[in-house]
Amino acid sequence: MSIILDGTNGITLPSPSTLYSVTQIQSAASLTPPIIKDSAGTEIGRFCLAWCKFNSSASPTVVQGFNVSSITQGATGFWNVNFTNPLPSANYSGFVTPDGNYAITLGIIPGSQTTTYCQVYVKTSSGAGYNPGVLYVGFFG
Amino acid sequence: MSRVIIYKNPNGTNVCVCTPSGELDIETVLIKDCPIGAMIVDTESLPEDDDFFDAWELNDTTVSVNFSKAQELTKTRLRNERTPLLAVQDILFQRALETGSDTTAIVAEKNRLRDITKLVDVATDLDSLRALSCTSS
Repeated sequence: MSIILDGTNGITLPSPSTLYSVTQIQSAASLTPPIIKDSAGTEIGRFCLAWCKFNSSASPTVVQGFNVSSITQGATGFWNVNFTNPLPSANYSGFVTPDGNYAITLGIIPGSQTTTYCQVYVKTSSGAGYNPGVLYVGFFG
Repeated sequence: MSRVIIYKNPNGTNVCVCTPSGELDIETVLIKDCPIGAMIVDTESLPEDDDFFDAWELNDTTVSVNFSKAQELTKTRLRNERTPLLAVQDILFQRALETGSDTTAIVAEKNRLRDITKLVDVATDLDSLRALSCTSS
Protein backbone atom coordinates (compact mmCIF):
# COMPACT_ATOMS: atom_id res chain seq x y z
CA MET A 1 0.00 0.00 0.00
CA SER A 2 1.39 3.35 -0.94
CA ILE A 3 0.40 6.97 -1.26
CA ILE A 4 1.71 8.54 -4.46
CA LEU A 5 2.74 12.17 -4.39
CA ASP A 6 2.98 13.63 -7.85
CA GLY A 7 3.66 17.24 -8.79
CA THR A 8 1.12 17.08 -11.61
CA ASN A 9 -1.56 14.71 -10.38
CA GLY A 10 -1.39 15.55 -6.70
CA ILE A 11 -1.96 12.84 -4.12
CA THR A 12 -3.15 9.37 -5.20
CA LEU A 13 -4.41 7.20 -2.39
CA PRO A 14 -3.94 3.40 -2.61
CA SER A 15 -7.52 2.20 -2.74
CA PRO A 16 -10.86 3.91 -3.36
CA SER A 17 -12.40 1.75 -0.67
CA THR A 18 -9.95 2.79 1.99
CA LEU A 19 -11.29 5.29 4.49
CA TYR A 20 -9.03 7.88 6.01
CA SER A 21 -10.04 9.75 9.09
CA VAL A 22 -8.70 13.25 9.01
CA THR A 23 -9.49 16.37 10.99
CA GLN A 24 -8.53 18.89 8.34
CA ILE A 25 -8.20 19.17 4.58
CA GLN A 26 -5.99 22.00 3.48
CA SER A 27 -6.20 23.57 0.06
CA ALA A 28 -3.05 24.21 -1.92
CA ALA A 29 -4.02 27.81 -2.66
CA SER A 30 -5.23 30.75 -0.59
CA LEU A 31 -9.02 31.34 -0.54
CA THR A 32 -9.53 28.40 -2.92
CA PRO A 33 -11.37 25.43 -1.44
CA PRO A 34 -10.38 21.86 -2.37
CA ILE A 35 -12.39 20.19 -5.13
CA ILE A 36 -14.06 16.84 -4.49
CA LYS A 37 -13.74 14.29 -7.33
CA ASP A 38 -14.98 10.76 -7.88
CA SER A 39 -12.82 7.78 -8.84
CA ALA A 40 -12.90 8.86 -12.49
CA GLY A 41 -11.58 12.30 -11.64
CA THR A 42 -14.91 14.01 -12.24
CA GLU A 43 -15.72 16.86 -9.92
CA ILE A 44 -18.75 15.90 -7.84
CA GLY A 45 -18.91 18.46 -5.10
CA ARG A 46 -17.72 21.63 -3.49
CA PHE A 47 -17.88 23.05 -0.04
CA CYS A 48 -20.28 25.64 1.27
CA LEU A 49 -18.33 28.89 1.24
CA ALA A 50 -20.32 30.55 4.01
CA TRP A 51 -23.56 29.97 5.85
CA CYS A 52 -25.43 31.43 8.76
CA LYS A 53 -28.55 31.07 10.87
CA PHE A 54 -29.57 34.33 12.51
CA ASN A 55 -32.46 35.95 14.31
CA SER A 56 -33.65 38.85 12.20
CA SER A 57 -34.29 41.91 14.33
CA ALA A 58 -32.89 45.38 14.79
CA SER A 59 -29.88 43.78 16.47
CA PRO A 60 -29.55 40.51 14.54
CA THR A 61 -28.28 37.59 16.62
CA VAL A 62 -26.13 35.02 14.87
CA VAL A 63 -27.13 31.60 16.17
CA GLN A 64 -24.50 29.67 14.25
CA GLY A 65 -22.56 29.98 11.06
CA PHE A 66 -19.34 29.66 9.17
CA ASN A 67 -17.24 32.34 7.50
CA VAL A 68 -19.71 35.04 8.52
CA SER A 69 -18.14 37.81 10.58
CA SER A 70 -21.26 39.87 11.13
CA ILE A 71 -24.82 40.66 10.05
CA THR A 72 -25.85 44.28 9.44
CA GLN A 73 -29.47 45.37 9.32
CA GLY A 74 -29.74 48.51 7.19
CA ALA A 75 -33.54 48.63 7.12
CA THR A 76 -36.35 46.36 8.16
CA GLY A 77 -36.05 43.23 6.03
CA PHE A 78 -32.63 44.09 4.58
CA TRP A 79 -29.33 42.65 5.81
CA ASN A 80 -25.68 42.57 4.81
CA VAL A 81 -24.06 39.19 5.39
CA ASN A 82 -20.39 40.05 5.89
CA PHE A 83 -17.85 37.29 5.24
CA THR A 84 -14.95 36.63 7.59
CA ASN A 85 -12.69 35.65 4.69
CA PRO A 86 -13.41 36.79 1.12
CA LEU A 87 -15.08 34.32 -1.21
CA PRO A 88 -13.03 33.19 -4.24
CA SER A 89 -15.33 35.01 -6.67
CA ALA A 90 -18.38 37.29 -6.65
CA ASN A 91 -20.23 34.86 -8.93
CA TYR A 92 -21.42 32.52 -6.20
CA SER A 93 -24.86 31.08 -5.71
CA GLY A 94 -26.85 31.48 -2.55
CA PHE A 95 -30.07 30.80 -0.74
CA VAL A 96 -32.18 32.76 1.71
CA THR A 97 -34.99 31.05 3.55
CA PRO A 98 -37.07 31.89 6.63
CA ASP A 99 -38.05 29.68 9.53
CA GLY A 100 -41.74 29.36 8.88
CA ASN A 101 -44.43 29.77 6.28
CA TYR A 102 -44.99 33.36 5.25
CA ALA A 103 -46.53 35.16 2.27
CA ILE A 104 -43.26 36.86 1.42
CA THR A 105 -40.66 37.35 -1.26
CA LEU A 106 -37.02 36.99 -0.42
CA GLY A 107 -33.61 36.53 -1.94
CA ILE A 108 -30.33 38.20 -2.81
CA ILE A 109 -30.53 41.86 -3.82
CA PRO A 110 -29.54 42.05 -7.49
CA GLY A 111 -26.07 43.49 -7.96
CA SER A 112 -25.23 43.23 -4.28
CA GLN A 113 -22.92 40.24 -4.49
CA THR A 114 -19.29 40.95 -3.67
CA THR A 115 -16.51 38.72 -2.40
CA THR A 116 -16.72 40.34 1.03
CA TYR A 117 -20.47 40.63 1.63
CA CYS A 118 -23.88 39.86 0.15
CA GLN A 119 -27.15 41.72 0.70
CA VAL A 120 -30.31 39.72 1.29
CA TYR A 121 -33.90 40.82 1.78
CA VAL A 122 -37.33 39.67 2.91
CA LYS A 123 -40.49 41.54 1.87
CA THR A 124 -44.18 41.04 2.45
CA SER A 125 -46.54 40.60 -0.47
CA SER A 126 -47.19 44.36 -0.32
CA GLY A 127 -43.48 45.06 -0.81
CA ALA A 128 -42.69 46.22 2.71
CA GLY A 129 -39.49 45.00 4.35
CA TYR A 130 -40.17 42.29 6.90
CA ASN A 131 -38.31 40.55 9.72
CA PRO A 132 -39.47 36.92 9.69
CA GLY A 133 -37.69 35.83 12.88
CA VAL A 134 -35.09 33.19 12.12
CA LEU A 135 -33.43 33.43 8.72
CA TYR A 136 -31.05 30.97 7.03
CA VAL A 137 -28.53 31.95 4.36
CA GLY A 138 -25.89 29.94 2.52
CA PHE A 139 -23.43 30.63 -0.27
CA PHE A 140 -21.84 28.18 -2.72
CA GLY A 141 -19.47 28.58 -5.62
CA MET B 1 -24.87 42.86 28.05
CA SER B 2 -24.06 42.49 24.35
CA ARG B 3 -22.51 45.06 22.08
CA VAL B 4 -23.26 45.98 18.49
CA ILE B 5 -21.93 48.49 15.99
CA ILE B 6 -24.13 51.34 14.76
CA TYR B 7 -23.73 53.89 12.00
CA LYS B 8 -25.85 56.07 9.74
CA ASN B 9 -26.95 54.27 6.61
CA PRO B 10 -24.77 55.68 3.80
CA ASN B 11 -27.76 55.36 1.44
CA GLY B 12 -30.34 56.94 3.69
CA THR B 13 -31.02 58.63 6.97
CA ASN B 14 -31.77 55.62 9.11
CA VAL B 15 -29.47 53.60 11.33
CA CYS B 16 -27.52 50.44 10.45
CA VAL B 17 -26.91 47.91 13.21
CA CYS B 18 -24.08 45.43 12.74
CA THR B 19 -23.89 42.41 15.02
CA PRO B 20 -20.68 40.36 15.10
CA SER B 21 -21.12 36.61 14.76
CA GLY B 22 -18.34 35.78 17.18
CA GLU B 23 -15.85 34.55 14.56
CA LEU B 24 -14.00 37.86 14.95
CA ASP B 25 -13.91 40.25 17.89
CA ILE B 26 -16.11 43.33 17.64
CA GLU B 27 -13.18 45.70 17.24
CA THR B 28 -12.03 43.77 14.16
CA VAL B 29 -15.57 43.73 12.75
CA LEU B 30 -15.79 47.48 13.32
CA ILE B 31 -12.77 48.01 11.08
CA LYS B 32 -13.53 45.27 8.55
CA ASP B 33 -17.32 45.46 8.02
CA CYS B 34 -18.31 49.03 8.93
CA PRO B 35 -17.64 52.50 7.51
CA ILE B 36 -15.62 55.22 9.21
CA GLY B 37 -17.68 56.84 11.93
CA ALA B 38 -19.32 53.61 13.08
CA MET B 39 -19.30 53.10 16.83
CA ILE B 40 -19.65 50.27 19.31
CA VAL B 41 -22.59 50.56 21.73
CA ASP B 42 -24.40 48.38 24.24
CA THR B 43 -27.64 46.92 22.90
CA GLU B 44 -29.37 48.30 26.00
CA SER B 45 -28.77 51.81 24.69
CA LEU B 46 -30.93 51.10 21.61
CA PRO B 47 -34.71 51.58 21.53
CA GLU B 48 -36.38 48.67 23.29
CA ASP B 49 -38.67 47.59 20.45
CA ASP B 50 -37.58 47.32 16.85
CA ASP B 51 -40.97 47.58 15.15
CA PHE B 52 -40.13 51.18 14.22
CA PHE B 53 -36.56 50.36 13.19
CA ASP B 54 -36.92 52.33 9.96
CA ALA B 55 -37.70 55.41 12.06
CA TRP B 56 -34.56 55.08 14.17
CA GLU B 57 -32.26 58.08 14.03
CA LEU B 58 -28.69 58.44 15.20
CA ASN B 59 -27.85 61.78 16.81
CA ASP B 60 -24.24 61.89 18.02
CA THR B 61 -24.15 58.68 20.07
CA THR B 62 -27.84 58.24 20.80
CA VAL B 63 -30.38 56.25 18.81
CA SER B 64 -33.99 57.34 19.15
CA VAL B 65 -37.25 56.90 17.27
CA ASN B 66 -38.28 59.80 15.05
CA PHE B 67 -42.00 60.10 15.80
CA SER B 68 -42.90 61.71 12.47
CA LYS B 69 -41.25 58.82 10.64
CA ALA B 70 -43.01 56.36 12.92
CA GLN B 71 -46.31 58.00 12.00
CA GLU B 72 -45.54 57.62 8.28
CA LEU B 73 -44.57 53.96 8.79
CA THR B 74 -47.85 53.38 10.61
CA LYS B 75 -49.83 54.99 7.80
CA THR B 76 -48.10 52.74 5.30
CA ARG B 77 -48.85 49.69 7.45
CA LEU B 78 -52.52 50.65 7.75
CA ARG B 79 -52.81 51.31 4.00
CA ASN B 80 -51.40 47.84 3.32
CA GLU B 81 -53.76 46.33 5.88
CA ARG B 82 -56.86 48.00 4.47
CA THR B 83 -56.28 47.23 0.78
CA PRO B 84 -57.76 43.70 0.92
CA LEU B 85 -60.47 44.84 3.34
CA LEU B 86 -61.60 47.58 0.94
CA ALA B 87 -61.65 45.05 -1.90
CA VAL B 88 -64.03 42.89 0.11
CA GLN B 89 -66.28 45.88 0.79
CA ASP B 90 -66.27 46.76 -2.92
CA ILE B 91 -67.57 43.29 -3.75
CA LEU B 92 -70.23 43.52 -1.05
CA PHE B 93 -71.25 46.95 -2.37
CA GLN B 94 -71.64 45.65 -5.93
CA ARG B 95 -73.70 42.69 -4.74
CA ALA B 96 -75.90 44.99 -2.66
CA LEU B 97 -76.51 47.20 -5.69
CA GLU B 98 -77.41 44.16 -7.81
CA THR B 99 -79.92 42.94 -5.24
CA GLY B 100 -81.20 46.34 -4.19
CA SER B 101 -80.04 45.80 -0.59
CA ASP B 102 -79.18 48.56 1.87
CA THR B 103 -75.59 49.78 1.42
CA THR B 104 -75.44 52.03 4.48
CA ALA B 105 -73.31 49.70 6.60
CA ILE B 106 -71.00 48.96 3.70
CA VAL B 107 -70.47 52.63 2.93
CA ALA B 108 -69.82 53.31 6.61
CA GLU B 109 -67.18 50.58 6.73
CA LYS B 110 -65.51 51.85 3.54
CA ASN B 111 -65.37 55.34 5.04
CA ARG B 112 -63.97 54.00 8.30
CA LEU B 113 -61.19 52.25 6.42
CA ARG B 114 -60.47 55.30 4.27
CA ASP B 115 -60.24 57.55 7.33
CA ILE B 116 -58.22 55.23 9.51
CA THR B 117 -54.93 56.90 8.66
CA LYS B 118 -56.27 60.13 10.15
CA LEU B 119 -56.06 58.45 13.57
CA VAL B 120 -52.29 58.39 13.12
CA ASP B 121 -52.15 62.17 13.13
CA VAL B 122 -53.79 62.42 16.55
CA ALA B 123 -51.70 59.66 18.15
CA THR B 124 -49.24 61.03 20.68
CA ASP B 125 -46.91 58.13 21.40
CA LEU B 126 -45.51 54.94 19.90
CA ASP B 127 -47.85 52.67 21.86
CA SER B 128 -50.83 54.52 20.37
CA LEU B 129 -49.40 53.96 16.89
CA ARG B 130 -48.83 50.26 17.59
CA ALA B 131 -52.42 49.89 18.78
CA LEU B 132 -53.90 51.17 15.54
CA SER B 133 -55.29 48.45 13.33
CA CYS B 134 -57.80 48.22 10.51
CA THR B 135 -59.48 45.28 12.16
CA SER B 136 -59.60 46.30 15.81
CA SER B 137 -60.63 49.94 15.71
